[in-house]
This record gives sequence, structure tokens and C-alpha cells, in this order.
Amino acid sequence: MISTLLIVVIGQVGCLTLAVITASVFGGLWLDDTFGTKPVFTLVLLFAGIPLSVLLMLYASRKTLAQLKEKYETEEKEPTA
Amino acid sequence: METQKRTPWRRWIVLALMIAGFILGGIFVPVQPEIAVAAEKLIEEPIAENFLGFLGPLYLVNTLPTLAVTLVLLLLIAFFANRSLKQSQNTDLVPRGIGNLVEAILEMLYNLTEGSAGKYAKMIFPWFATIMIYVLFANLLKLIPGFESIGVLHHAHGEGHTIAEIGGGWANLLPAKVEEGGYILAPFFRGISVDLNFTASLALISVVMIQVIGFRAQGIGYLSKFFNTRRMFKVPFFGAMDFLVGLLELISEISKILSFAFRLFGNMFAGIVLVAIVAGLLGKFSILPAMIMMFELFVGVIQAFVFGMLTMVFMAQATQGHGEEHAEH
Repeated sequence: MISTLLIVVIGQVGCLTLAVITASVFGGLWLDDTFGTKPVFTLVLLFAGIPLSVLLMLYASRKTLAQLKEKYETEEKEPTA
Repeated sequence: METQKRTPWRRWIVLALMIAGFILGGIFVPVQPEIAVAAEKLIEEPIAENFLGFLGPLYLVNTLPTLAVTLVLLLLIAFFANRSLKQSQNTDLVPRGIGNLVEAILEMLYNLTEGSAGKYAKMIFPWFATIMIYVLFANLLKLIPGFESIGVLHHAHGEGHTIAEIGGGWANLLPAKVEEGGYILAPFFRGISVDLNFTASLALISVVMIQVIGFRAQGIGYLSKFFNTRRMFKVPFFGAMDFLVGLLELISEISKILSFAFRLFGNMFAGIVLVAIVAGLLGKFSILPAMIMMFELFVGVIQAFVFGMLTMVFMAQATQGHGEEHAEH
């Protein structure tokens, strides 16, 4: 169970930056094309996306590490029969 | 004890470099690089007509020189680290310099492996450390200035850039675009992690070795993970369910290859697109693409860690049969 949790958090961390940055760049390019505001939206969304992806990464890691810690503690209290 | 007053001079150098970068960025306005998914050919003719007799033409693409440079650098570091550790063993002192650094990194990785793999750590660790250090080097090497910005000028089939001769057969690509008679740049070096061949081959190695380690740890019993017939006759309904879950496991092993390959390639390719778009949008204010390079450094380290860790945790999971997982910790 613990390695599955590890796999989940590592997989999430691995894809978060790609997902957030791709969404912010192409979202910004689309908005700029739609409203003719090149390059405002692209840059604003991009430079907001970078810290956002880092924060999401930290949040996902801390949440899962808390679960891992809880699992370790419950396992130590009830050693397998 | 009199504390020696230290004058922090390094920060002024960093500041000076940033200002210089800002000014130079205004003089040599960056040209929006060509975004190509596949590695670019450095020379048009193939270097081997039919590679190995059945693989077809082999072209000199710009990730091959990078591959060579990465391997040479890794071998040099291994050589010097080994020499430094040997010297420290003879003199009984703490290893200094590169030996110390490499030892610390490997020790940290080994402890990580032991935490997940338990008694199989010795079997899994070499794969984990090799893949992680190799991908780390591949990701960080492409951030060196000059990488992906010095190369061969090809005639553009369509829109291209004008050039300014510098002399000695060298020319500078200018931001101005022309419809006809323009040029595009094929850099000498392109990051190898931005080549799907590299990431896919590493993914294949990783997933095949996960199965090999599964067999070595569990023997033929490892196959029960995919063809689970244990309860087939005792409790037919749940037995059939187990069998289907086993087939799903088989599919998930194949999807691991795709996820490994495309996660690393996608992240590193997104980095190139990012820098290209921002450099193209901002032109003179080139200090901002430099900030994106810092983010690229962060993503490069994260992706190397993710690739290595996932390989290691999957291998650790493959060593555990059903219900053995709790007994291990």
C-alpha cells in the first residue's frame, strides 16, 4: 500500500508542471488571439503558472507524506499478525 | 574567539551578470528558435545507408553529439570520484571534493532505496542510481549557454530568418523574418531528453528491468500477478475477477512505458517551447526567459528524480508478492 502511495505522489509531481505550464501558455496564447492583447495574457498566465505549479507540487507531496506517516504509525502500532 | 569578518562578494558578481545579461539581451535580440518535435539533422545525407542491415538510414541528428558529451562527462566524474575515494582510503582521511560529493549523493539514494525495497535494495539500487544520474545530467546539460543556440544554418523551406555575416564562415541569425531565401538554425547540441528516442528507450529499459527483478525476487510466482488463477476453482466468481485484474495489470505494465517516455519528453519539450514563446514575445527584455531557465533547472531535477524514483518503487513493488507488502516493512 505504501509503495502505491509513493507511486501516486511521484506520478502527480511528475505531470503537474507539464499540465499547469501547458495550460497557462496555450490558454494565454488563445486569450491573446481572441482579444488581440498580445503578449499580455500569455506572460501573465505564464508567470502565474510557474509558482502555481510549484505550490501544487508541494501541496500534493505534503498531503501524501502525511498519509504515509499515518500509515507507518498505524503499522508500527499493529505489527502484522 | 575572534570571528573573521567575511565580505559577501559573490552576490555582486551574480548581480553584475544579471545586468550584463539584460544589456546583452537588448543588443543581441534573441531570435525565436524553431520548435521541432524531432531532433534536427546536422547533415542532410545519412551517415549509414542501412544501419545494422535492417534499421534503415541513420542520420547525424543533433542529439547524438549531446549523448556523447553526456557519457564522456559521466565517465570522467566516475573516474575522478573513484580516484578521490581511493586516495582517501589510503590516507584514512574523509574523501574530499568530488569523491565526497558523489559518495553523499549515492548514500542518500541508497537509503531511499532501502526504505522502499528492504532486502532487495542491493539489486535495485544500481538501476535507480544510474537512471536518475543519467537523466539528471541529460536535463541539466541543456541549460548551459551555447547549447541549442549555436549550430548549422539551413535554408528554410518557407519562412525563415535573415542573417548577418560575422566572418570566417560564421553568421548571426537576425530576428527579422522573410518569406523566401531565409535561414533556420539546427543547433549542434540538443538536449537528449527532448528526443523521444532517448526517453522511450530508457522507459523500455526501466520497464523490462522491473519484470526481470520481479522474476528474480519471486521466481515463476511473479507471473501470478498477471495470470491470477489462485481462486479460480475455489470461488469461481472472485477467481474470474482476479483473472481480469491480472490482465489489467498486464496492460498497466505497457502503459508504464508510455507514461515514463512521454512524461520526461513532454516536460522537457515544454521547456523548449516555453523559452521559445517568451523569447519571441519579449525580444529585448531577455532577463525573463533567463528566469524560465531557472524554472527549467527545477523541472530538470524534479523529472530526473521522478523517473528514477518511479523505476525504483515499481521495482520494489515487483519484488513483493500478494500480501507480502506489510511483512517487508
